[in-house]
Amino acid sequence: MNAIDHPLVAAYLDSVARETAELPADRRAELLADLREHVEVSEAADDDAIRAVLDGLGEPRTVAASALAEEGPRTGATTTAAVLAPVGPLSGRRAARLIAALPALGGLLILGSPFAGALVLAIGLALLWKTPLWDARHKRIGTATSVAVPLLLLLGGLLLAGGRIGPLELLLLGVFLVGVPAAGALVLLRALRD
Amino acid sequence: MNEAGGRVSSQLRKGVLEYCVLALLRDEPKYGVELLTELSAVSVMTTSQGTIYPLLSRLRREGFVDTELRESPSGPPRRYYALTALGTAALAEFAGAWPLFRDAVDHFLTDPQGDTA
Repeated sequence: MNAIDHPLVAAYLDSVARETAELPADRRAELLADLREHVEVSEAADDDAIRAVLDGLGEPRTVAASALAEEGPRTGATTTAAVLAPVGPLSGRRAARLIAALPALGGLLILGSPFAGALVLAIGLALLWKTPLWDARHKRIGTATSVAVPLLLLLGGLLLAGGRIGPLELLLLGVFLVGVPAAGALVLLRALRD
Repeated sequence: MNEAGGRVSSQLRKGVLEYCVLALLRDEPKYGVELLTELSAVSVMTTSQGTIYPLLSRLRREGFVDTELRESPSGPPRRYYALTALGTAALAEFAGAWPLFRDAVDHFLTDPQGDTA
């Protein structure tokens, strides 16, 4: 008997089909065809070999979950992005707060330690651009507000070195240094709520 | 503990697996089972082999790979995956970014204060 007609294989494919009911029909058919081909190519001949192939593929639920995850954040494009909760490692609530805060923190950290600050800023920005949580516009806002800190610092440093800065300007600079990245992080977090 | 370890591996894998797949296709097109054999040779890279197919499907939709059905000398026809120009560019970008990330993570793991400057 051909492996593909084996009851174990049929039961496995049925399970995957059941668990992927939410997938678009063509995507679901493609996944089932891929799994079917995998079993066929393996040319398993007896029950044990077929069981081993199916074990290798993993639980139907696990395979289905990964198919739904690949589908999830991308189908929404921009409009339904907020409705369809994005999935993946960079999509949780806590991840969102961390990603919103990291670039801003990195910019501020540059005050104390330029190296560590730049590193945190770079990692924060990389995460910001990698996550499906925000659209490109918000990503640009987050980037601009956090990169503003080292730029403001540079400006402040230059003015200070030239002796052309008084206590009031210094205070103003300090307010901007904290305010701009904090506002950026707030904009990002608020974007997730609506 | 085991659960947590599995979670860490799974999150890390999610970020890098697709680039490992692109890297495996760098020199020649391969079919699914062939890719899985090579990935599974490194134990951390796959747990449930079936999850590679949704990933391959997305890579195809995003234009990183092309697929082609080819006859096999034995058995049924196989769907081969080949790297596109876009896929090659994505792989090159990852190859450039990866050492920076690796070094950054190592930096935090070995020197949590990050205060070498």
